[in-house]
Amino acid sequence: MDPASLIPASDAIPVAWGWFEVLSLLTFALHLLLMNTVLGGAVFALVGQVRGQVHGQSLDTSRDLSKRLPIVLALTVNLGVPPLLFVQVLYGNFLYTSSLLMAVFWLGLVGTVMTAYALLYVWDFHFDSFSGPARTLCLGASVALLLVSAFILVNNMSLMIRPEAWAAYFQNARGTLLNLSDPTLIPRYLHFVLAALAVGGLFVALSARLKARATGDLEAGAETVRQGLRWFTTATMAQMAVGLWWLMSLRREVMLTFMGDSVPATAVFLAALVLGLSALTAGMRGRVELTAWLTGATVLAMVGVRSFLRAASLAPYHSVSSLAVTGELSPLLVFLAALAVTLAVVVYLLKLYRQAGKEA
Amino acid sequence: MEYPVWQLTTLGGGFLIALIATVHVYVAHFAVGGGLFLVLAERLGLARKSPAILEYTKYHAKFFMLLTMVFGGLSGVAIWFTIALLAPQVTSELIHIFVFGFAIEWAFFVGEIVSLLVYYYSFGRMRAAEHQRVGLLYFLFAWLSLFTITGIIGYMLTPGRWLQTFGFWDGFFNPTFWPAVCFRTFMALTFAGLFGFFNACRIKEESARETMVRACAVWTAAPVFLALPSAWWYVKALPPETLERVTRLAGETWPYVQAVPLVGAALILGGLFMIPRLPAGARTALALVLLLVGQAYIGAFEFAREAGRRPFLVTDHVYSNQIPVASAPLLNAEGLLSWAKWSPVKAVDPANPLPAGKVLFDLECLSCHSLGGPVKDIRPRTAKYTVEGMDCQLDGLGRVNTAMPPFIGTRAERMALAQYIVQGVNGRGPEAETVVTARDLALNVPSFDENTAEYTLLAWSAQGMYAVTDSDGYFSLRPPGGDLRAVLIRRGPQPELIVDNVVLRYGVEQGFEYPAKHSDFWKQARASLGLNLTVNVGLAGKGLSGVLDPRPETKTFEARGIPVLPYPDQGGFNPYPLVTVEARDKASDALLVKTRTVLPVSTEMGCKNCHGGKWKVEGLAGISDAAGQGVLATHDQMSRTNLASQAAAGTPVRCQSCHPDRGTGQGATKELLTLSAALHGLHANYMTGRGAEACASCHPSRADGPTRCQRGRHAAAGLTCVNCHGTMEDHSLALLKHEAEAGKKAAGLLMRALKPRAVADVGAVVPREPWVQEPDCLNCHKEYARPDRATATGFNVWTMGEAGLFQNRRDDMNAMPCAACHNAAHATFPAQNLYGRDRDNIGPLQYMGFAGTLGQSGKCTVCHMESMDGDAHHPNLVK
Repeated sequence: MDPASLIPASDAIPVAWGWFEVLSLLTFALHLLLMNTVLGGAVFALVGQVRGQVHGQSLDTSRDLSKRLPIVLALTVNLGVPPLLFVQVLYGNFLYTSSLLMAVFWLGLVGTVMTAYALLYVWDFHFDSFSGPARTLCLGASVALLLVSAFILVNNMSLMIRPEAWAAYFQNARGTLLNLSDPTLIPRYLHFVLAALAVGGLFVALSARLKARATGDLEAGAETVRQGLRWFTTATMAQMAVGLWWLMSLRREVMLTFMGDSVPATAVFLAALVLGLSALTAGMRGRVELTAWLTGATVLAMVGVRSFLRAASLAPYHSVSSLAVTGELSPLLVFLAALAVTLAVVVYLLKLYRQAGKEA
Repeated sequence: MEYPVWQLTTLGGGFLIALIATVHVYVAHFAVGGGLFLVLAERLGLARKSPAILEYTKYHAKFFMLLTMVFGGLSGVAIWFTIALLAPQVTSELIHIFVFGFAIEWAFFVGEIVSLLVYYYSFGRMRAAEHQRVGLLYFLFAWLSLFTITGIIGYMLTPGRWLQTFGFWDGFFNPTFWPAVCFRTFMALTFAGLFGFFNACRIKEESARETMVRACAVWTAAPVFLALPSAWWYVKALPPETLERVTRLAGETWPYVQAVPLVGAALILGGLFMIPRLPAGARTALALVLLLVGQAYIGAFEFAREAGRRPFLVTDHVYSNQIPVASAPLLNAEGLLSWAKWSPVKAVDPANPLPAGKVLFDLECLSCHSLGGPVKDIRPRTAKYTVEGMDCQLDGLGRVNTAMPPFIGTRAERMALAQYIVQGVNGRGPEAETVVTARDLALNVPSFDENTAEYTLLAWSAQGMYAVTDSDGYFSLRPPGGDLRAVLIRRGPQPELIVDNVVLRYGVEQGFEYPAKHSDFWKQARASLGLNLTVNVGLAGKGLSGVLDPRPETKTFEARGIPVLPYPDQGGFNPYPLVTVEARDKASDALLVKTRTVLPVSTEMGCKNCHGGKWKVEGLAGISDAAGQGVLATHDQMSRTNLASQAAAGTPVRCQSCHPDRGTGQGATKELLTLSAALHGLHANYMTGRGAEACASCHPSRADGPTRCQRGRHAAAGLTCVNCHGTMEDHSLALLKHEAEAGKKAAGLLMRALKPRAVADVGAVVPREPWVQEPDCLNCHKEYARPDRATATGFNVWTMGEAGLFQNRRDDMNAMPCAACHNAAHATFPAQNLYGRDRDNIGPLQYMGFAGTLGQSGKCTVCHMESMDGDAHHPNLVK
């Protein structure tokens, strides 16, 4: 069966596709950074708790994380909304189809994230009242659910760009398909999970550094900073190896997109590589803030790479530049205004919060 | 038809969305009202310098944050996911139209999250005024979220001008936007009170507890009152068709619609009931109950709103099954399967009706109907249907019951879907009707000597076929009671109709004298008709034998309402019992002449085809209890009556007790449609595009059936019901138009989806009164001549009044009734009867020696003593 015959028709978009692409890239990069912080931070805390249990080490870092991670997860969910919204505008006909083929898991994603989120709060509110094993079990279950969530997401994001695999629906229309036959699935999943471990470690290091700076006692969190950066550098090196595996597992024509066939794609890919290596180097040198900035830039560039990857994979079937445009601009302007006002209020709220912290 | 279908089966039918959405919207509204509640509770605590109230507020804020952010936030995402899985095509369109609406809502969501986190985590650490400002900012963002989403939801219910302009703002600020925003805001405030109770009951310090419980009571009850004007505004803003769907056509959703005000009242009472000092346990329990009542409040409201939207996902734009309204004509012409990208079957053929039907079910039905699940399970709803009955149901979708979309696709696809539902889903095997082969029952033709006989006695049934509804325990539409008519002619050069000094007696043949043996009619008559009838005696006092009453004004005799039934004592089914008529001298009782004829009666009324059950008698005829019950259940469902319960309680329903009907309309409600218009008008909506087979679905005219009431000259010439009466649509429109012109609103409802077939439009249909006006024979038989088959049609020119009816009409001499020589309608001589070729032709055989119209072929000697010239009875008589 010709996969093209299965692809649903696209709907017209209100403004030029570039708006959605840019908005999607920015919000998705933020979402990834927050998601990485939650998952990586939770794994870091879990390991810390287990070590604490076994070796009697301090639980302070885990306790600190328990207070922050539920909040970060709230923001992660929030910042997951716009990229998911904008990807539906540009690639909805692919995303809805792949979601439907794996509907049970896709809908289950809400349950796994919600439970993981609730468990993080339970972990936070009962950090000191729980016994060690209970605390570990609670956090471990949350981490496991987050890892499952990531697996579901990676399945869908990779299945949506593989129309050639969709005919499996005719053997199974119950919504229980996964994209397991895709050679890119495992490296892609590992790439994201390792990124989370790296960023989680970096978050721990950065938090410790900022706290130390705030208190003026730079030595206080030095070990935590070192430990966090060690996570970051180790996971980043592993991630680079897995990234190479992912690259090699891509369809030849897609892979060649990043090898010179497409100048913009190759340029963004190279930029991401350079930024990643720079972040790694900065991490090895213990320069936490620089590492954080470079990592942020790397993630943004990698999100760009991912966008090129999707476009190249779907090139035989779809091009965002060919989508019909209705040209209705006013809702976009109202959105930008609403976002600007909201962000201004957010700044004001954070200012109030900071002041309250100082006053308290 | 762009996307695959998630085959949920058991959990299909909107179960997932109903489950997730109703709980989410409850929490989401709480997330709005609760924000303001927190700020005002904090202010109250500060004003009263009550640490207990402040402690409560902080604890409640934590509860609020966890519930709204963890559950509320993610269940909102779940709704998004779910609608995209169940209706991807419509979700895609919604996203593309309102992408920046959703984006604006997300921006407010950012503000909500940050302000709520700041509010909670700075509780007690921030200056009071600033902290309250943070809380108010939270409330503002939350309310703006409600504002934004209401615009998008409202667009789906009342898209208004968007349908013409396709503009974002026209869809967003749709006709119900503002009232919906107001109504939902008040609901949100009520829910703040309800959730507030939950924690307020557990405040340890008594005065703080009582203060907060009273505050929660006000928060719960007052917004319900305040919501009333917005509810009224909301209802007024609904387009009439939408309002009709919420009210009259709500169907299964009607209880939810009714529940909205009732549950609102329960909330007011429950809220006030919390104020007195109850035991702590009882109060907590009541608080929990009230939380559930709150869920019922918003659940009922959302279901009522959904009822108004059905059969659309976006009103007048996309049907519930995602088929765009504008695509329907194309898909009806070319077939749905050929346009469904993910269908493995592209067309129906004889080898694949069930696989094709399954795909059609997935595409058209699964979005609302589950297979064995808790929501709108298709199985019990369709278990009663035969394939033909199911096909009729599919045909009728979207016409009378406008809560469901019309079936979209070709006729072959519709039949494949019907077959799949009946055979594939319900597991019913093919059910062929019993084909009755011709029989030749004994016929004893009385003698007649044309040279010596002094009298000629002609007898016929008035109706040609009297159809009886023998669902005695459930309803009475047409009780037993056919009419027998006769004329007695003194032969001679100037034959004379005799009514004086003679007595005409009749008696049905052996085996048919005791119909009560085969029917509960007489047992139920008191309950259903309010009459104490003597057993085996009809409504007009006639039994199975007796005297024909003279009608001096027409010089005829008549026995009305002879309650013969087609069930002979020896068993089986015979719709043509014979009746012997004798004319005797009144003084001497001497036999002057006798004759025989059939008294046709049939119970082959096909209610079971759509209403369930099987034939009552030997797989041939009769309305079974299941069918009778099914008829009443359908009436109850469609007209919100309680007939099934009434019948179950021992009072069978007499249709004419409400619906006017000729001669039996005493006590009927004049505003209602006549019985004939109601029955034909309703059923026509389920039987469009058909020929005479539509008539045979209910009437005893099936071509291979056990009655075959259409058996006269017209049948022999290949004419069917529709040649004279018109197709089901035409026939019904004429009846309905008569009712519409009498100002009966229901006629319009039944007419709106019917299109005439014989004429260009409804305006060209000539209205007619049932039974009083029928097709005029002279429409085709102009000047009594043989008609032109190519152009002849009986439809749309009706007899004027009862006197013009064939059964009452007389010849040009105003002497002989037409039926005396031609026999009754549907059985004009020579008739061919399934139960003996000449069973209907006894009169012609007796008086002419062959089957034909009396007087045919110069046989004037039936009445005259010699040959006659001319055409005194009517033109073109002599052939």
